[in-house]
Amino acid sequence: MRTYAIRRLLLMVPVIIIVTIAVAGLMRIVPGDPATIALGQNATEEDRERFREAYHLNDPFHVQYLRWWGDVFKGDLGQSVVQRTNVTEELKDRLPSTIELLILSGIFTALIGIPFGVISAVKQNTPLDYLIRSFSIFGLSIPNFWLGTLLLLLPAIWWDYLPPLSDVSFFDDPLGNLEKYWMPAATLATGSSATVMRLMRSSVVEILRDDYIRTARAKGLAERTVILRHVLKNALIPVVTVMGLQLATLVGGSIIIEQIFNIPGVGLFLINSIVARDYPSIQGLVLFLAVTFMLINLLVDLSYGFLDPRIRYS
Amino acid sequence: MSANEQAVAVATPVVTRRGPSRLQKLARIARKQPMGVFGAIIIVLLVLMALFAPVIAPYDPTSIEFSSIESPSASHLFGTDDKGRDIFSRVVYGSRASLQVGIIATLIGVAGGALVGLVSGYFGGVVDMIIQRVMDAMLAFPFIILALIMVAVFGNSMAKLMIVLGVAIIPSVGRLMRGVVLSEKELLYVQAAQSVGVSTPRILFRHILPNVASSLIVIGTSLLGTAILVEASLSFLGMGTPPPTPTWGADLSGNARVYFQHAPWMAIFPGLALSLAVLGFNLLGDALRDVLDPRLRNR
Repeated sequence: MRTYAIRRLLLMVPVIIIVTIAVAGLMRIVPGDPATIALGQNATEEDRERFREAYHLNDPFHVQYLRWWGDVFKGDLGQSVVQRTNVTEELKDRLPSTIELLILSGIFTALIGIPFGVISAVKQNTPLDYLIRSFSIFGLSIPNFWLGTLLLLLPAIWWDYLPPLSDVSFFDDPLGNLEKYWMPAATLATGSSATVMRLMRSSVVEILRDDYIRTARAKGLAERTVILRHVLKNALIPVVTVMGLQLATLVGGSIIIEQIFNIPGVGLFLINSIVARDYPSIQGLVLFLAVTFMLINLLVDLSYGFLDPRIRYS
Repeated sequence: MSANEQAVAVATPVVTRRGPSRLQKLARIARKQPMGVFGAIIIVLLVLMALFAPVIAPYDPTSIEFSSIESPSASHLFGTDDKGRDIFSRVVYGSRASLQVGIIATLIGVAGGALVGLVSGYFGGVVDMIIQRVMDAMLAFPFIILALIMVAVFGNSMAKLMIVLGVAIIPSVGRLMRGVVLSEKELLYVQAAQSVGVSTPRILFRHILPNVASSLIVIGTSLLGTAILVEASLSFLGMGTPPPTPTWGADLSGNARVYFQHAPWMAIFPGLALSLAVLGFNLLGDALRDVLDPRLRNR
């Protein structure tokens, strides 16, 4: 297992190099001068030249690229040219909001996806099963930016209710914080809970056919015990993996959700940087996101072995 | 038919028992997959709406001649928006952008992914290693973030969007195809073709490709729904199909959001159309997977 983990970590190196060279290279071929973008149309050529010197934009590509890595190893992901802040600092400020959103969405996903998936499987091909499955396919089809819009809109029309605009920390005011975050988290969790529900259903359906379940029933165990003690444990293995992979989908969705619900998180930072064509921030954020996702995927793959001792890594 | 003829018809045994016709087979599948049929109906209606948009839509979708924020009525089925445009006409025309971008992007993605998967899986070795690392690099990001970054770099005309979304689809198709090809190339028919000296491109495209086509159709259908959703999301973020082309995503975004509380119909109808479109492709994709490729179940 350790050699497997080390090999996977080593394989990340070429991928990260490809990602960063691609992003840095693409930013260079893009039309539009970063100095003009940062200083505006009214800046003089002298100002622009000074700006280029200050940010080392006149150096050849490989020099810039290597210098960027040097800064990254010092913990500096770069300087946002538009917002004039440091990307690392900005990330530190914004990560808590995004992480809270993701944790809450993960909780929603598990609380909705797992129980309903099990019910759907145990009651397979009954009206209840069809109802749950219809909900899950609708959940997969509704764009979360529309669902979020409706969640904000309908209570506002019916009861004049709007969630709080200000962002308070969970540790200062837990209830006020949750009042702001539950709606975006629920919206974000719709698609992933539908995915988990479908997978949970097929996983349970498959296990219900196994011999050891027949044995458990034959020795007279209550159906409840069979489901909770024998089926659920094994059915959860593939589901845990998918929930880990859903995390990437959740992060993708959080960009839009943060925009709709005005949450000052990483997603909003990324979209603002992209709209403003703030290339240094994009470059820093891309590295951060790529490494995060690859580590998550690695952890998910490793968790497989913990959950199911039959699985060996080669 | 006279009684006599009937008697003859009954008496004459059917000598050649032919199997069920294609239509009968299709009908049998359709009975087993009612949800898939429902999805197919949605898609057919959607395509008809896009093709005949000028006939169906009562007004020009970009015309601003009406009074703004009118609630739905007989003359404006879905009401009008803040700029005085007829929302029904915009929803009808919006299907064009969604379908065009969705279909062409998916075709690019499936074709590119198939090629990448075939080459990577069949040749293996260094070629496979390099291709897979590039795919890993792309898969290191969620679909929408990958698309956003590429749009930021290349710009967002409709043609560029199709290419960007298509390229973003390539790794998911390529990964799947590689796996399928890896198991397929060990089969006897491929070895037989190799041993009689059939050229490699011919083995790839004439022998292996037709055998894995059903997997491609299945993944293509469900990716079409995703592509439509991502196009709408990009438009929602202001990075999608540029105005004045009417798109469902853009109509739900930006300044329009200010008016939603007073004009909920502005938010409801474009979103409903989008959800139905994605639902159609998801339902059809599920049904096709069950029928064509049980291997892919649970993905």
